[in-house]
Amino acid sequence: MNTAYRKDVRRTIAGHKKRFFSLLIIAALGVAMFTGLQASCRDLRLSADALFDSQKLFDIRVQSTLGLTDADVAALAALDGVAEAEGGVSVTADTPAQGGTGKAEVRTLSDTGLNQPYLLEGSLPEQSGQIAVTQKYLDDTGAALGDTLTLIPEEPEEEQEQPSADEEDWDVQVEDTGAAEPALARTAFTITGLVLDPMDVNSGGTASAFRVSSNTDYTFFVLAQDIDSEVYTAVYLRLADTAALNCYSDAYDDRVAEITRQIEDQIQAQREQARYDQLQAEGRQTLEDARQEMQDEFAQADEEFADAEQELTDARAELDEGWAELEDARAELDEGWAQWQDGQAELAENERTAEKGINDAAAQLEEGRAQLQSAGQTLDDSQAQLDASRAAAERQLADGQARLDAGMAQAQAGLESAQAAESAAAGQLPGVLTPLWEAWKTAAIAAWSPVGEATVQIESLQTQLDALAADDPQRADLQAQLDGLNDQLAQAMAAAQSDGATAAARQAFEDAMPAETAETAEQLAALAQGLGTAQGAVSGMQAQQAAFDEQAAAARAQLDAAQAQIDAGRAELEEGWRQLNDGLAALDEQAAEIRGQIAQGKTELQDSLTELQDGEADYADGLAELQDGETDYADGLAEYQQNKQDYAEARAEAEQQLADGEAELADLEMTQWYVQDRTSLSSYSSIQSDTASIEALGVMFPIIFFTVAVLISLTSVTRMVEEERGLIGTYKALGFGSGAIYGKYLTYATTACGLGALAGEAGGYLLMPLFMRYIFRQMYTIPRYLLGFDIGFGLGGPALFLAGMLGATALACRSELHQTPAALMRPKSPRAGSRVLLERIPWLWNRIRFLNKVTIRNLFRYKKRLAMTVFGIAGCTALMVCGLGLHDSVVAMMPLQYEQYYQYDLLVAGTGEDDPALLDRLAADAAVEAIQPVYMETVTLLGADGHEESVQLVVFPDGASPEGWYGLVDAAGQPLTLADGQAVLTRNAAQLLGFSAPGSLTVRDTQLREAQVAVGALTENCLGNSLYMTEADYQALFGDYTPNAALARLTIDPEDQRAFADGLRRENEVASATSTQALKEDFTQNFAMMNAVVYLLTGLAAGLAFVVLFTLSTTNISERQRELATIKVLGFFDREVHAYVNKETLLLTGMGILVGLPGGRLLTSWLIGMLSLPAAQVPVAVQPASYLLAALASLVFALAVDLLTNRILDHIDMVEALKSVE
Amino acid sequence: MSYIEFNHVVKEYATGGEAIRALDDASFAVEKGELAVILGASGAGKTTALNILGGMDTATAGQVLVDGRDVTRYTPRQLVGYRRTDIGFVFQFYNLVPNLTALENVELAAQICKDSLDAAETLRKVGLGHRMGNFPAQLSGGEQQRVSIARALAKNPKLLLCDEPTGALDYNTGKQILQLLQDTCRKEGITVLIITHNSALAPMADRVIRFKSGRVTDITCCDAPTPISQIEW
Repeated sequence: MNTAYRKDVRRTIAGHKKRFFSLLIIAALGVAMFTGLQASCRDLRLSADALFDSQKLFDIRVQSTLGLTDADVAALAALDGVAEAEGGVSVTADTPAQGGTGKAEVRTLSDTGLNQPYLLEGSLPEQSGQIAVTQKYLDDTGAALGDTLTLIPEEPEEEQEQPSADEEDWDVQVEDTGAAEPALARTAFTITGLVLDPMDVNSGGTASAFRVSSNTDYTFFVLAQDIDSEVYTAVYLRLADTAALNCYSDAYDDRVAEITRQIEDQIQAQREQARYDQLQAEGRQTLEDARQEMQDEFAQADEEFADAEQELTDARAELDEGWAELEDARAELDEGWAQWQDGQAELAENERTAEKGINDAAAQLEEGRAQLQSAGQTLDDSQAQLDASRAAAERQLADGQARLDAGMAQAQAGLESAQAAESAAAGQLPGVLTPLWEAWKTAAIAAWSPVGEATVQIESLQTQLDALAADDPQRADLQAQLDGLNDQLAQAMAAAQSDGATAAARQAFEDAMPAETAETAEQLAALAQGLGTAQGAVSGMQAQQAAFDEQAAAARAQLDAAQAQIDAGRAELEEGWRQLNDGLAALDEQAAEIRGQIAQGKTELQDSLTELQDGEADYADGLAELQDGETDYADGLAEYQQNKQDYAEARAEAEQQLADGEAELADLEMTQWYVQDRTSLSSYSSIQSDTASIEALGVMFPIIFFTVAVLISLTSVTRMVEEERGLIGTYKALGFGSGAIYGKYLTYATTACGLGALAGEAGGYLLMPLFMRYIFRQMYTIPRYLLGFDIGFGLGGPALFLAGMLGATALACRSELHQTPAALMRPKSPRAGSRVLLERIPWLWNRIRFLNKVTIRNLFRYKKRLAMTVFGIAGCTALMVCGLGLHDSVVAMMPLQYEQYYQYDLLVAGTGEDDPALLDRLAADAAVEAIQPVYMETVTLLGADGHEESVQLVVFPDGASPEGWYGLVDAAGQPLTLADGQAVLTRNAAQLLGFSAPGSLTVRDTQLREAQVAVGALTENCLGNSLYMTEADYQALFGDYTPNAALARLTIDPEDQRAFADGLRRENEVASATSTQALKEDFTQNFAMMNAVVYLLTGLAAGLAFVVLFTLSTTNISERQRELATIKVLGFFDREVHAYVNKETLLLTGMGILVGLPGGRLLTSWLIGMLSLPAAQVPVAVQPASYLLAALASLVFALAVDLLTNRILDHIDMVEALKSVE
Repeated sequence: MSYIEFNHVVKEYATGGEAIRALDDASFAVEKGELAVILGASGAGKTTALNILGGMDTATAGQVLVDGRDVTRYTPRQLVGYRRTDIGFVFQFYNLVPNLTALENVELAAQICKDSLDAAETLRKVGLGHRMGNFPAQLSGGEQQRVSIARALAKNPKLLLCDEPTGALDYNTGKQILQLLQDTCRKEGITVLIITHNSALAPMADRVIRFKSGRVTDITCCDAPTPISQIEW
């Protein structure tokens, strides 16, 4: 066409670089913003979809309250549109983690690769016992590939009777009617791989941490053979023609809805019924079989018991027999022992005796010998003695005899005398008296003989006594005898005197006597007496002599005897000696014999001892045997009894089980199918909602940028057109049409825009997604992040901006091109100066300095510029306020949430094993000031459009109030009360579900039971969603209420509360313990995305401010170049020239800030509304400091731009400027 | 029927409340191939008339006939075509495109015309063969004006309208330019109208049109115009 023309266009571009670049940059930013946010979200969805497709994530999932069978799978597979249907099994288990236990969902790997986890490291399980885990598990436990993982099954194993030992063996099992729960086949696994679960791509951190995603902490994958199950936990369907569709697209949703409807209409009811019937039938059958088995088993068991009993009895009898035998044996042995003992004793005795005897004998013999010897000696002595004695005795005898003779002589003499006297006297007596006298005499003699005897004795004794030595001991004796005799004498005298016979005789005599013979009588008496006495003395002496003779004879006899004795003794001695020797000899012989006997006896005893010992040993063995036998018997008996008891118990149990089974079967509720699509996966839904909210964001920014772009291009091009006014006129004069002139500027703008748009595309499709990917990575883990290109936005974005900017350009040109060339070539009439409102206040106006007046006038002179600068700055300030406000709002959430809404310090949840005990223990703990048991569960709320949202259900017991634990307030800040039939829901959940209170919502708990809840009010909450209700409500809806968690207020310092909670968590009965203090401290980490958004906003604001201000300033300057050149010519210093311009800029900036601050507040609340983070309701709270900061920042930008424009000002060449064509 | 007829043309500017008449019922005529000089003091309406004649401005009232066609009735689009093909304009302040070289400036005009002259040749004709590659900023005023003239000539127009072409030039340069214009008029047979306030140039013209206060006060025809070289002032 017209190369010169084109060259002009080209060179125009080259000549107006600043303007060109500002247009370019604005276009780039705008397009980047526009496409970028969309692209990022689309890329996320694309990447997620790619992942889901590559991992063959299900499109539809069917779950049933009673499990699913192959028949169900077949029925589902047969549906039109279903490409694959496969059943999968999952089971929940506990695993040790983080000091306590965490809950894990263990799923089987599919054979066909359905729902295949994405392998990140290692390898998928290929053998039994291998397991694949997700990142979260490795992070929490610090485990690595190759480590062992232990799973603790949740429910205890099915009760099975223990087969007992020995004979008793019964086995009664009654299977559960109803769905058999899948169970782990083993508990120890080796970690072979780190995978990503396509059903849960949440990365676990950040904002999504507040969304209650699932009941379990971890997900593990094992081979199908490691989980025993009869039914499938879920059936996963993949549809035929959905692979090509993006799963977040409407087409996909429609398709899925269609198939879902098909399932619900065509299959569901039948399959539910079929399953129910099947279970009923199976249950029936099982019960019957079990019953039959039971009967058989019982019969068999009874039999066995009978046998056992018999055996026991026999055994007992045997044992008793054995005992009896043993007793006998014992008796025998004892006897034997006794005998032996006796024998032993005897022998010992004998031995002893023998020995003793021998010894004695020997001793005796010795003694005998000694005796003999002594006897010999004695004999000799005796002989000597005897001889001596004989001699002495003879002497004595002689003496005695002599004495006696003497005595006798005396006595005789006496007697004779007496007799003589008597005769004399008698002779004188009358013959008559003589017989009387004779009588008397006889009597007196009789009476007085003893006296004479005694007297004689006394005399002899006395003589003896006198013969004795003075110290002779016999003296005493003799003396005593003497005394006695004296007494005798006295007595005898007395007797004699008193003798009756005598007296009588005397009397008789006397009687017969004549009277004068008294004296005679006396004499006679005396004679008689004397006679008697002499008689007595004689007789006494005779007696003595007799005695003496006797004595002497005796003594001689004695001596003879003694001698005889001695002789005898000697003979004996001889004998004795002989005997002794005999004895010795005999003794030796005997001794030898006896010893021999004894030895023999010992030997015999030894033998019998040995025998006895053997016998004892045998006995002991026998005893031991019997004892063992007894023990065995006892054991057997005990076992028997135990078994019998167990049996009885088992029997009862089995009966009970049957009964329970019957009851269960009767209670079996109709199957309920739940047909879900991918929106039931929380991570899937959250991707959807997150991208939606960011895309909503992506609506706002491009609008701002678009507006700015349009305005900027309008300004720039207007300025350019004005500058080239004359040129345009020339073109027109040359005959170029408007089209050509439009074309020039449009080309200019198009080039700028186009390049900018391209750059923007690159930024939008590459940089922005990369930036957003960083943010998304915090929330989701998707292995491959695809960068996609959307034709619609990809071309639409630039097209839009191009259109806008070109439109602005055209608009700018239009006003000029309307004019005739002549008009164009004339200088543009300067705008008429106008009076400012302020001028009408003279007293104020007159006080203002001249230059300031100029400034004020200029401000309002260029209205467009005024508007645009103010708008630009306001926008910038608003964006900054928004960014900072967002940050502040997020930060404000923390005290709001954790001090006002959650007023408790600690939340403890039990494992369900013994929660009441745990709660009691905690209540008693010193660190706990107050405790409130509650029931907590994660439930799903179903919204009207099928949208599901997981919330935490908190049930307060009757009589308890949430006051002091949860701050339930409505939107106006008024406190809410929790009452029966008036459940309270958090606002965020209500929004997500499209629900408004009061109303009724469907709640589904973890056991897939559904119920309608009457929600009375909505409460404000920042993080997470909860549903609060009373115990009565819960019981009405779901049944039994048992508190399984507790809220607590602690007395310990906040710094210690975290540690306290950690300590609690490690205990076995505690499933989780969360310290609010710890949540507060960890709060900031969860909002990394927020910070990224804040930086983004700030960056944008800065860029915007810069571009706007820069463009406006440069435009302003170029517009007023002559004016500025003129004041330069007039003599303004550079600084004054700067001030001249900058004052206006700053004033405009100030006005912009004033407009921008409240605008920013509005923007913040709008943005927060748009962002709608998952399960987070951010309160709008902008700190005064943020306002200040934003204002300062804008000011700083303005100043920075001023610095740049100052340089331009300095470069204004006065001369050239004044020379310009005007 | 003159080649150019300016009949009772009124050009009124209404700014504020008053109406200012740049042309107040001006009428004149120019024959084909004539060299007409328009004289008048500043503000007399000369430029306005030329602008209207050149299709660069519109008349408020009146009629302008060029080669039998009423230019005032032209639509803007027709005016563009008119300007393109029939008019060659030379401005007082050259109005060259600063981004283009001398040659390109001429080409710019030449390339939109159907039967245009060769740009380089035209430049040579105006004596700037050696300066074809220079930008206007590198040319002196006279050179620039010559480029401007070359641009106008290259279009091979019916009319060549010159608005004070020597206004910014010195005496000799001006004379050269005028000579050029005169030669063009004579040789090419192009009708040339020159606006000037220098009445000494009157003899060079075939027709002298005097403006005063927006009217044509006098039209003088001259049979034997004096060559420029002979005119001194």
